[in-house]
Amino acid sequence: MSRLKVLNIIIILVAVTILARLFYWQFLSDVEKRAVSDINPDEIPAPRGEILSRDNYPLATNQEAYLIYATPRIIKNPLDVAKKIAPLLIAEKFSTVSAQLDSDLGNQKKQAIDTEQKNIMAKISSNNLYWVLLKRKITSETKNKIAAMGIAGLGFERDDKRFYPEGSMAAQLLGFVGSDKFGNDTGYFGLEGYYNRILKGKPGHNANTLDPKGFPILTSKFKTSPPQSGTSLITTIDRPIQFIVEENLEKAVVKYGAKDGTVIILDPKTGHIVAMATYPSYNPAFFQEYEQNLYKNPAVADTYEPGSTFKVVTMSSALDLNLVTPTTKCTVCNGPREIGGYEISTWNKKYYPGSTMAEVITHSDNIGMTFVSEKLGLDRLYSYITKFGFGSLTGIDLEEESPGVVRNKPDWHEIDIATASFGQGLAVTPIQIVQAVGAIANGGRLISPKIVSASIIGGQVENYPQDAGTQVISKKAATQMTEMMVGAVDNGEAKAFKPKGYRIAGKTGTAQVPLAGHYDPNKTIASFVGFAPVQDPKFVMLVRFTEPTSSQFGSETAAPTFFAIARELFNYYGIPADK
Amino acid sequence: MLSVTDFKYKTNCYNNYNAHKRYQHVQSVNIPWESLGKVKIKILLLLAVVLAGLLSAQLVFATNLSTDGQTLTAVEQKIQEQETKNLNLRSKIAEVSSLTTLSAKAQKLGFETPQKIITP
Repeated sequence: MSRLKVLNIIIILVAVTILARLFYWQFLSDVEKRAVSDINPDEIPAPRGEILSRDNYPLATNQEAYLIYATPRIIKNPLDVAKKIAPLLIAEKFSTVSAQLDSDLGNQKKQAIDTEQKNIMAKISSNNLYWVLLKRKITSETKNKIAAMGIAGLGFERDDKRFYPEGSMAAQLLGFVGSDKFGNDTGYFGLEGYYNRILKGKPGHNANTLDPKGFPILTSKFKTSPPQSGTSLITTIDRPIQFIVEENLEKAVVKYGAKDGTVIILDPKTGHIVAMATYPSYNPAFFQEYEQNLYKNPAVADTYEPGSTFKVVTMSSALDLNLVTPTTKCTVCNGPREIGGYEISTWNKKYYPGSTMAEVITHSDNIGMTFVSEKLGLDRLYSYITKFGFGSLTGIDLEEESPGVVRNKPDWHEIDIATASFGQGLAVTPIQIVQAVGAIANGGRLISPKIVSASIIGGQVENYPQDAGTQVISKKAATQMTEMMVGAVDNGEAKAFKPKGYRIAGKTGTAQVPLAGHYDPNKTIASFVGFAPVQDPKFVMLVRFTEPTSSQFGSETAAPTFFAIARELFNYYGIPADK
Repeated sequence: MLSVTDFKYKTNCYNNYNAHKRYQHVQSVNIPWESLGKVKIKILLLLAVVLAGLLSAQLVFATNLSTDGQTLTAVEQKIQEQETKNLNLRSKIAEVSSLTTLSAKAQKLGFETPQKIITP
């Protein structure tokens, strides 16, 4: 055989082999099935930034989770599959140990399984569908259990979920992560909502060509942009204090039979929020299982008539303008007054003729406050109300903040000036009251409250600038007001609950709830606002209860709660008694 | 490998009239035509070897690149696995060190909240 013939044979053999291999890849191999791979999705999700407490503990972090999908045309026995996986796809609350002991939850669990089974059946029974989403955000344990069943036609994709290690702690402050209309993770309410844009990061993209097995072909266009992780936030929340507050608040709401309760603790020197709690609360990880009215944060979103706690604002204004001093005597305090056709009386119908301004605050005397408001007049009173930040946003970095309601000046009548002096006829938010009292605590400087002090971008910590604040009243006026508030605590209705040896400035408030043009005598909002220790204030605290039933008064509900928390704060901060 | 001589320029070219003319011209300038043919063959051979070498190199690179894609995917998967482990450990640490968990454990162990104010 000539050498040319040998060469011809070799060439033909090679060509036949290549053709045979091409035939295999084109018609015989199952590359199409294998090509459905999650190795290289077009979009690479970016991990959401964490929310950290002051001590860098994660208050909100991410947890491995999966999305489970089905390919109905591959599933042979849909009913069997639905029966097998339904118990694993019901709400996580049914898988807890306490749920297994609770008979009510046990019945609910059975119902939930039935419903889930029907849902799955409806989804996987249609053979026309290629890809059906069964459930999002299932845990890796659930995924492993289902994968171990080896059911053909089920698949998983990574779909991380938000995890809140402290459960319901600071839920209204943190907010939660849900889905937008495109199914992307989006933060709602609280910090998750306010900082969603920077928390979510930027997803990466894979623009490279893949081979049939899903591996990138590096000889073709290989262009991958990596995802940019979301920015993490360092908050000013002090975890132990938040815990102390939540424990005490829950006990108090139950004890006083209140509809709800809110506590805010602020560092007056910096405007940093140290703790912010509301009860009843919810677990942001399972937000769908709670009523929607629990989502909003009453500390910044609820408006209410502040009642007597507002007297400190009116009195501070008059002190700042030197219209009164703590020893100025009230000349109209001998009985009820009629102003603009309305009768004004004290809360307990007791009158103290000739009482000083300090005593007016101690007795929480409405008549005494009308005396002060007359000295101030509309222009000056209105000016101070707005200077103290009422009627406008405090600038706190939380979603859903309300500016409260302060009517326009031309709409004010004689009676409005009188009632506003003791906190009626205007609506404020709890955070506005805390901000205003914070100004008194730090020598008259009004600072915008903030929750986030720094952010972490790519491992680099970036500190946020601190608000310098605005001087709204003189230091002298702030000191005088502080002493009057100390007197209110030492000699007022709540003196029995006060920790001995500590100088605490505070003021109670009991505001009736306005209903269809009149005040409901049985429904009140009880509150107490104050700060301590007076010589070097470490915290400003507001305790507020909505419609307490055991007693309507702030001095008997909010004040004892304030002092109970203050007692623990003194321990935590290591603050010794003054005397 | 076939012998190089199979491809040598043989005398049949002289039958061609133009080739004959060219032969006459070559003779007139006294160029050793036979040795020139050998040089051309060598150049062709060299080019063929270089081409073969380049083709082989491309083949080797292409093969390496195709397996690199697989290696890259394997490395990326390993990175993802490690990141997932890290994420899980971090959330587990957060869960067990949460004040809610610690408080429940403390109560179980008989610890109580201090009732008196204790300051240094």
